[in-house]
Amino acid sequence: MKSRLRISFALVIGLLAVYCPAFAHHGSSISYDLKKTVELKGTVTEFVWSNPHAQIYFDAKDAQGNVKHWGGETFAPSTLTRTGWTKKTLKPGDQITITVFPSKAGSPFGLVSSVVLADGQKFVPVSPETASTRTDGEQ
Amino acid sequence: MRSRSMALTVAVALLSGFWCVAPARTAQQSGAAKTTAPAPARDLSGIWLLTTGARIRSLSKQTPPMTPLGQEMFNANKPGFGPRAVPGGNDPIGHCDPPGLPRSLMSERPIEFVQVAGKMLQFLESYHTWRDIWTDGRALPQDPDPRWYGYSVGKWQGDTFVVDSIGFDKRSWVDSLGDPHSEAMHLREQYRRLDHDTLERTITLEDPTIYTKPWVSDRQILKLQAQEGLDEDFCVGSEEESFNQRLRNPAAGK
Repeated sequence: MKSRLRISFALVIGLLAVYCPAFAHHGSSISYDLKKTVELKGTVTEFVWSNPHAQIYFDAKDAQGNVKHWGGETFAPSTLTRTGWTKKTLKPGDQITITVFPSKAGSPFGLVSSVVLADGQKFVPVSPETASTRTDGEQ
Repeated sequence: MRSRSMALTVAVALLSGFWCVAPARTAQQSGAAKTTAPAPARDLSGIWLLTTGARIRSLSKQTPPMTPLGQEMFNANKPGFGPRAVPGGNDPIGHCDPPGLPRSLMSERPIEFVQVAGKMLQFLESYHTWRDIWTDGRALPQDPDPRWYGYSVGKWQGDTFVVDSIGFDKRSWVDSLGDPHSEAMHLREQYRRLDHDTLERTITLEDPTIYTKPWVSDRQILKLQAQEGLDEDFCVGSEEESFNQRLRNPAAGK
């Protein structure tokens, strides 16, 4: 029941991300392919708990085993706080499994869909199901 | 088990429609009286949150026809929202330029009215700013220097508080879709308290150099909030610059 509630709550947050202008305050979501996700396992190098959007920088290996440095964008701290994030949720060295909507430009950046911490705790800022159904021309 | 889980998910998802317009607070759960107590006469005091519709992008869905200058400015504006959204874009708030008016009034963040002798103060949580709306009978200035939030005077007409504003800096956008305005923009806001907890607002924008006819907003409803103060919301230049350089621009392929 607890996990179902958590996932349901995450879905709400996903809906908020799609339909609430506050969560796309500066309109950067247009840069990402919201119909596609990429899952990466990596190591956090920096967690920027700051406006306008919190950022997760991490190193992850590509298919060839080469380490690539990625940047993940998510919501402002004021929004993340309401779903249990704190400035201490991530720190350098943390091992994470992170899913992002990748940059349309092909650069190693993405809009964070979900983050799973080493202890199994999962956060879902934007679920793929809700992101793929965006309407009114907003990308 | 699966159907119960699905039902729970759907129920929670449906609730998001209410939450969306008040992400930081629950507008439906105002600590003010959950009642339709009558409105106090000529009193807008309190913190008010815009609740009309799930997304307030612009004054209304239909923009008035534009003049050639208006169309030129519109084409030059590259928003991050809507059908003309482009990665990166050139929305001035991306560099912490103030949103100005009427854009700030369509924010998901609340406003607060404080009435004092000679003026009505309107505080806007968005960008942590305020406006003096002079009620001492003074006229609007002639040929003022442009300001991001213009110059405002207000007066009561019956039970409606009417605010007239001019003198706007043309660098701000009317909305997040990139609709432009000139320094000649004249805004009229009309506030009418329908009951103790409900404020109705309409905004009329006149800018003959940009739009060929007045732009009248949809009817907007704001609800009284129980919170005692506004949150701090600054656009910090260094944070914005860092975000642009480290993430927004490279993500957009810039």
